[in-house]
Amino acid sequence: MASPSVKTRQTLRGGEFLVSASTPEQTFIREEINEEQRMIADTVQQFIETEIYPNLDRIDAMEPGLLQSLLDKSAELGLTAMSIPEEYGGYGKDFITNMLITEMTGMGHSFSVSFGAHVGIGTLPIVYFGNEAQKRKYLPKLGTAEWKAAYCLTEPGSGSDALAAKTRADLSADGSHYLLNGQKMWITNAGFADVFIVFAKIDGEKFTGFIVEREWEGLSVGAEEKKMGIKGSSTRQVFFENVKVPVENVLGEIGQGHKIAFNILNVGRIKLCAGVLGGAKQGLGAAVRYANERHQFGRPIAEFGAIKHKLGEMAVRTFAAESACYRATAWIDQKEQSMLAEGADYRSALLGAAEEYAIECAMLKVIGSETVDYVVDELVQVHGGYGYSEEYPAARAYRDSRINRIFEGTNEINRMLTIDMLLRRALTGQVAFMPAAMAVQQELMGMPDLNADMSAPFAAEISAVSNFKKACLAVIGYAGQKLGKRLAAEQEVLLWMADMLNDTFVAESTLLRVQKLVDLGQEEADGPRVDMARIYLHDATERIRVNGNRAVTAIAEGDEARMLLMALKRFCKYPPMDTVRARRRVAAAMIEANAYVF
Amino acid sequence: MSTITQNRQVLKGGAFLIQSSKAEETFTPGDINEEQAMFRDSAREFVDKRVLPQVNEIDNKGFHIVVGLLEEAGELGLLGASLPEAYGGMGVNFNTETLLSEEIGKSYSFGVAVAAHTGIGTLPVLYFGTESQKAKYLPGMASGKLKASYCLTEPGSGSDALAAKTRADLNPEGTHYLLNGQKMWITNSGFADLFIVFAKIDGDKFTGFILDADAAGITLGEEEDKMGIKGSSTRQVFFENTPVPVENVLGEIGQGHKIAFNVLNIGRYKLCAMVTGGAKAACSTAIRYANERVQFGVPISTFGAMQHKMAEMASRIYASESATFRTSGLINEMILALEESGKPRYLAKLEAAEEYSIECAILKVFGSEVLDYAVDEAVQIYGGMGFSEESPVARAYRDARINRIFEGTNEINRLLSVGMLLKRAMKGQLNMLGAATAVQQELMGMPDMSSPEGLLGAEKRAVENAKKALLMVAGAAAQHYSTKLDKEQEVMMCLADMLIEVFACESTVLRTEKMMLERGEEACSDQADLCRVYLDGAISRIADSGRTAICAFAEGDMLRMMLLGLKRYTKAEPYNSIAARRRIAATLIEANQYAY
Repeated sequence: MASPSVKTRQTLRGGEFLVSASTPEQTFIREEINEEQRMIADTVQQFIETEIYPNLDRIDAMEPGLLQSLLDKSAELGLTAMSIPEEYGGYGKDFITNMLITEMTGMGHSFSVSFGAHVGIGTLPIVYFGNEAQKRKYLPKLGTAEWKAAYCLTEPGSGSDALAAKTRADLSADGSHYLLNGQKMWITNAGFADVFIVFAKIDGEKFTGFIVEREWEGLSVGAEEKKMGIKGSSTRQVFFENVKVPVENVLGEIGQGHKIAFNILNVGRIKLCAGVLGGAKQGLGAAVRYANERHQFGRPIAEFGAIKHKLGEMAVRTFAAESACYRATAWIDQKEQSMLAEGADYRSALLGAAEEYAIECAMLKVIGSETVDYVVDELVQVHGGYGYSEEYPAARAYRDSRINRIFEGTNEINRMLTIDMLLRRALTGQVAFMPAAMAVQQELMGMPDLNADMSAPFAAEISAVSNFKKACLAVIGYAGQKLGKRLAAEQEVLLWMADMLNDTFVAESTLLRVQKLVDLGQEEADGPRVDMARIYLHDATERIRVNGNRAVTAIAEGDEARMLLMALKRFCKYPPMDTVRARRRVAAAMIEANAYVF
Repeated sequence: MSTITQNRQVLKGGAFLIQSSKAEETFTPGDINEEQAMFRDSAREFVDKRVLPQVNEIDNKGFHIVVGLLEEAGELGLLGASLPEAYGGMGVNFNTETLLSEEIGKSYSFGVAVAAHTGIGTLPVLYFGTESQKAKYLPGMASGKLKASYCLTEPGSGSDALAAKTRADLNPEGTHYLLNGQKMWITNSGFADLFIVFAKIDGDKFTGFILDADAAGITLGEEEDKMGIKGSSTRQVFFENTPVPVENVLGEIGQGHKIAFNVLNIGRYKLCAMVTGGAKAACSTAIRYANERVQFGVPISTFGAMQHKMAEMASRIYASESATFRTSGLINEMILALEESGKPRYLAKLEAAEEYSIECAILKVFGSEVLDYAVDEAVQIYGGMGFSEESPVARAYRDARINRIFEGTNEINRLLSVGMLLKRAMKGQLNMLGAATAVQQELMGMPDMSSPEGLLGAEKRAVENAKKALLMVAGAAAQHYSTKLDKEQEVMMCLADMLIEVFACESTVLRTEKMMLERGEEACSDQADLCRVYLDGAISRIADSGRTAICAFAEGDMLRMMLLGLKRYTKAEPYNSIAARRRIAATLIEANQYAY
């Protein structure tokens, strides 16, 4: 269960980080995982290293039965039952533990996708939305991986537009079952799954979830898709031709399938972030090792500034994204714990928690997937010609990672969702956005405080983060007010505002983590982690300003535009710093250890 | 060539940074003549009809198809286009070669095979071969009967090319050198008829050799399993006492580095022309998909997020093409001028490419990064389909990635571009010092508050200022680090990024202005948008790079002064780039392809 420290921690509500200050004490950092969590994480890591790594080529070649047997092995260790409640044969582990498992399996290339689909979108809909009988029937076997699961949402004509699905379900004359007809696409694990979570429209309109078993007549699968990466993960089309689904296999309420689909995606998105960060750390370690080994011009290439810059920047982004990921993870964990403590059932606790932090989940999906894509791209580049060879790990990492910006909602969809959800919550008052935005306007009327005391530790950084928030509030507040519903049509503006928000969230999370590490004596005041937080802040300052400028220039004119541009100038400030030397220090720590050490 | 071009004041290599150029004198895609267009069209038709329908088979280890297509290309004159007529070539001018490269760049793996054969495979013989070597090999290379391959890289020597271990030792009879060693990542090696090999005579004199593939003691490794360009043959080549006749020494003994580095200049330039073609193709593919794919009841091309991507791709491609053609024109001019002064064409070409080696390095980096951006966004526009190998964009994505690595990694080329610039400044070939001093002088005074005038006045001012920003930072860095600047790779990278953007921005403005001069401003509103969108992004990137560099070496007052100077020179008026991108996208959507 959750670590005791988490329970006493005061948490922010979803999206509230933008309008409230956080303290390091309130902030969970990955370094705080408890002994049990660490042991589980180590077990998973060992499993990946001993069972998956030696078999990567065989897995990607889709050797028959191999992936299933590896899923079975992971089940023997209990990994597939971690988030299943104990009464259904699982371990009912807390969310932080599940995120750690996801992070560690995230290093497993195709295996991680298959594993993630089984334990996540395959199993969780039943955990959350299944009735007692469904849970009793399916969960124990999903937990042992005796049955393997797949999730059928996407169709050829409905990807981002998930609700446009054409697959339909019609009640039989005797009312005993539904007849399923339609076609699903990009279905992970389809080649061997025993249980399919399928979305279809009853009478062609009521979007509903169903639990469908492979053996039932009329279900067939297409050929394996040829994909750019994650080649070992089975991806096929699934066809339904008059498949008889007993009425008792309707999942959740009729017409409420979107709740399942979207709620599962919240958890899926933050888990994706944990998984890709595991991959990023793995990639970074490989880059460091190669840079130390490879000699050119008479010395290891790790000694060259160009390479140190890459290693340093890869670490900055990975460490920063991880800070944000685990900060939000603990929020979800704690919300879940407190809801359970208040007597909520398992389903509403988990779901409620993930829904509460849907904004953070969407942000993290984007942040994580773009971090890993940066890391694997530089991993290839550090390897030079060897990076292009499939004999080295970089090429696979590069190909595999590209899907992460596409699935679980493309990054464009998730960016737009982020702002959309934030503004919705602002309107309902769920996030105290308006008062905060008004306070910013007030502040803009006055003179900037030039005499603030900047002598305290991290004073400049704390002030910068607080100002980033004001920049976001000024721009997003203006856009919401000025355009109202029309803002939805200004996608470019939404995307830029989401970038501002993402940078702000990551900058703050990284700073809080580093402050806490320094407070706890786990990092020197001028240590490499402090460098990383400062580099991130420094570079984010300009990104936030530029993104803000672009958004403002597109939607505001005249005096309003001038005011906002001034505000951005005022709120996007951070003292000049030598990021070159700071990155060298970060790189030096890794080069010395020959590994990713943060 | 047109007569106007002959009296121009030619801009020397690297001089773009300290001189301004005239739009009228800039070569642009609008300047190609009918004959060149016909030549381009025949290459395009060949790629469309003969290569693209077989792309799947080619990538599935269809090396024999590549061999057949190379021969067909040879018959059409595509392989010998640039070779002298005396050796069975067509002797086309350099600008025509640019057009040809752009088209070949759309042909995935096959393009790599062509580039390796016609570029690094053939050019060493053309440039450095003796008369009898040329007579013996060039006609076959022009027709495609002899397929060539270039063996420089070794397992232990990639970026550090001169660290090669392969050696050549004269036999006791003095008739042959015996080659021993191992070469890696050798394009076309699976089917090549001859190899250009670099080896060290007596283990120290780095020298080029022309080696017939049927010589004894050559073995080939397995085909490499690569991320992309899977249809291009890439193997290791092993030499074990492989005899090569003394008459097959290429160029002078101990001067192999001249061959290796000189052919790379042209190679880098051509890579840029090719990837620009590839990027256009990817952009068009993405536009067509965005028009076809319906989500939320409408084609996804109606969404702002998609329009942003399409227009940004187009603006970057427009910039890279502008820079490519401008350089093509410069190189072409110099070749013509040198020929007029009595140099044979091939030597003129070699010298011209060396003159513009800074621009070649810039283009290699810029073009390959524009391509990577384009294919990445093409995948993203395709969504889940983009990850499927059934879609054309997955291949484009995988294939593109090699371009930032080969022909010198982009890091090496960045370092080289600035390194060469500084070297020329030190030697007094480029008056950078004078220009940098002038900027320092200007910084002491008040900023010029006048409004810019004339066609693209604001854009021209922005470019001038960006140059000043770079001169200021580079000058200060050179002063601070003195001769050790090249050891500060991160600072060099920042300077290179600024240099690349300055060149791209200026080339884009010049192209656009020229078009406006010819067709009137009204007719070029899209081009003006493309140009402004490009500058909007580039100027802020220049500011970022400048800031990083300055903060790495300046402190106190100096730091403050320079940051102020940087701000002054990278100041941009607020610009509604969203509206501009939507206008660009509207044209692209309407044309259903890249349209400039």
